[in-house]
Amino acid sequence: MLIGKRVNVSPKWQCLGVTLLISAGLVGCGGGSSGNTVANEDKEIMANIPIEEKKPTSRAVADVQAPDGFNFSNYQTYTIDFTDFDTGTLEAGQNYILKISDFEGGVFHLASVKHDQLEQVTVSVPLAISTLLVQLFDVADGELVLFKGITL
Amino acid sequence: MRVITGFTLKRSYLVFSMMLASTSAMGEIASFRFVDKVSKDGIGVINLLTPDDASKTSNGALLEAFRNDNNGELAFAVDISEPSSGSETLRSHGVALESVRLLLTFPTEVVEFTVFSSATHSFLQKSGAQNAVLTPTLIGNSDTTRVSPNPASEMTGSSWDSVFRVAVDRPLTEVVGAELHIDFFDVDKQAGDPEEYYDFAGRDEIVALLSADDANYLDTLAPGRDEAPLVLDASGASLTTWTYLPSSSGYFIASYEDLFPLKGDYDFNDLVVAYQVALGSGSNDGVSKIRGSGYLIARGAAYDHDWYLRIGLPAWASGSGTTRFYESNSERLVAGFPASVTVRGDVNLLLAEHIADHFSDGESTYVNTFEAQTVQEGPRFEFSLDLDAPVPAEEVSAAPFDPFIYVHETGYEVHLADQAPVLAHSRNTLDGATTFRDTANFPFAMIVPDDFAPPLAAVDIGLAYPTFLDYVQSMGDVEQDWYLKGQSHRVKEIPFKQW
Repeated sequence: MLIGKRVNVSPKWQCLGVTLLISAGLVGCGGGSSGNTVANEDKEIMANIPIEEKKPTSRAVADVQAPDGFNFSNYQTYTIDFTDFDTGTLEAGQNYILKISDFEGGVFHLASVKHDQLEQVTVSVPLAISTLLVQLFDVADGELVLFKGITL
Repeated sequence: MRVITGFTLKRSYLVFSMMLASTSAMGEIASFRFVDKVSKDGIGVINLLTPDDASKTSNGALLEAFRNDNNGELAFAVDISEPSSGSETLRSHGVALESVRLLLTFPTEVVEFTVFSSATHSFLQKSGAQNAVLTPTLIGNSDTTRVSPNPASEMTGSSWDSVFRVAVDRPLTEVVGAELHIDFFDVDKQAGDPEEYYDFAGRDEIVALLSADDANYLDTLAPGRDEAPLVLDASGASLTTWTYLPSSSGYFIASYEDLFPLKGDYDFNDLVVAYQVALGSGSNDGVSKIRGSGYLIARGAAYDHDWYLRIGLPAWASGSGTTRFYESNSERLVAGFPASVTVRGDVNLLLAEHIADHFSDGESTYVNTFEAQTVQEGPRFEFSLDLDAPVPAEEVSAAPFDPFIYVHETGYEVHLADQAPVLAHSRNTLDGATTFRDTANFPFAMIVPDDFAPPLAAVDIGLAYPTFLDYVQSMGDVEQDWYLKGQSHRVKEIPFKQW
C-alpha cells in the first residue's frame, strides 16, 4: 500500500501506481505511459514530495463540473472606439502618439497616428486588469492632449 | 568618385587633389572602428585619430577622404550591444541620442559641429522630465553577418548597426585633432515602452567611421528596425505601427495536459510555452507583417511534442515568412531551421519540433517541474511573416490565436477548448477526438498571463491555485487573478530571465 509511505519511484511508476489505486485509468501524469527517463536525482525529489501531493490530486478538479461554454482563457479582447472620445481639439495633419497601456507599464498598443486615423483599436488584456489607460500625445510639443481611463 | 559640392571650383580642385593624395597612399577608403567606445554610462569621447587597429593611421587627410566619399558628411556606425530586457531582444535593440558634437582642431582654431542626423526617431521621455520629445534613435541586432564590398573594410563580419551622420562644411585635411562626443538619451525606464526599449544598459558600444558604400548598406539593411517599437521619421510619422499581443513586454502562457483524450493529473505542466505576437501595419492600411517569439518554459512529460501556433487569416491572404527554433541558451538553430513558410489563408506555424530532443534536464525529460530542480533556460523560437497585401485587422483571428501541441506517441493534437483539430497527420478526426474538453467540461490546454508559475509535477492545478475553481465555477466573474495566488510549495517559480 502506497498511502502513508515514501517510496523511491519514478514519476512514471508513481503515476501508474496511483492510477491503479484510485481510478483505474482516469488519472495519469503527463506523457508518462512510455519511454520515461528519470534521473536518480528526480527519483529522490519525487520521494520527498509530501505524501499528500503524491495522491491523485486531480480530484480537486475532477470533483467539479465546469460551466458550459467557459473558455478558460483568462484574457479578454477589448475594442476602443474613438468615436466615443472628444477629439475636436486635434489638428488635421498633425502627428500624435497613441499609447494604450495598463498601470504597470504593459503597453498594448503604441503608434503614431493622425486625427483621421483614430478609429478603433482592439487589444487583448488579462481579465485581472481593471483599467486601461488611453493616452494621446502631440508629437510637436510633447503635450498630453487626450487621456482616458477605461474601467474594464 | 563623387562630385564635391558646396565649394568654389578652385577650392574643390585643391581638396580633390589632396584627397587623391591621401587615398592613393592607402587605396580605396575602408571603414574602420575606433579604439574609444561609448561607455556603459552612455557617454563616449571618440578620438577619430586613433583606430582600434594600431597598425592603421588616421589623420586629417583620411577624414577628408571619408567626408568627400559621404558628400560632405562623416558617417558613423554604432554597434549597439544591449542586453535582452523587456522588449529588447538579440534581434532588435536600441538606444537614443541626446547629442552628438564633433570637435575638430585645426592649426589655428577649434571648430564644433553639432548638426547630425539619423534615419529613425522615437517619442521618448527623459528621466526626470514631464514630457516626451521626438528623439533620434539607433537600432540594431546581434547578427554578425555584415558584408562590405571592400575586403579591407572592418565592417565585414561585424555587428555594426545604425548610422548617424555629422555634416561638416569645411575640408579636414589640416585637422590635427578630432573628437566625437556622443551622449545617449537617458530615458525614463519606468515609463514602459518605448522608453524601456531605447534605454542603454551597461555595455560599451563600438563606434566606426564608414565609407559611403558601407553606410548605404547599413541604411538599407536597417538591422532590428522591423521589431523596434514606435519607429518614427524626423517628422514624427510612423514607419511601422505594431500592435502587441498581449503586450510589448508580456507573454501569453500556454499550458497543456498531453494524455488527451484521457484526463491527466491536471498539473498543467506537461508543456508550458510563453509566446507573444505583434501585428505590423503601415499607414493605417491593415496588417502587413506578423511576427512573434517565445520560449519553452517547462516540460513535465515523457512524451515528445511539437508546438504550433495557428493564426487565422482570410482565404485570400498570401505571403511568406520564416520560422526559427533555437537550441536552449544558444544562438544555434535546431536542425531543419530556419524553415520557410508560405501563407495561403490560415497559417500553421511549427515553431518547436520534437521538443523532447531539445528540452531536458540532464537525463530527465522533466524540466522545471520539480521543486529542487535548478531552473533551466528553455529553447526559444521566433517567426516573421510578410503578407503580400494588407489584411484588415478584424480579419486576423483574435489573440491568443490557436496554440496547440502534437503528441508524437499518441498521434493526437491538443488545442484550447473549443478549437478544432487541423493537422492532416493527426488521429483526432479519425478517432472522433475533436472536442478539447473532458466530460466535466475542463480543457486540456489553457492560456494564462505570464505571472503564472506552473504547478509542480503531479500537483493538481486546483490544489496549486486554491481559487482556481472559484474562478471556473463563477464563469470567470470572481477570482480573475487566481493565477497570482499559487501556493509557493506547490508551484515552480521560473523567473522571466530564465525562460
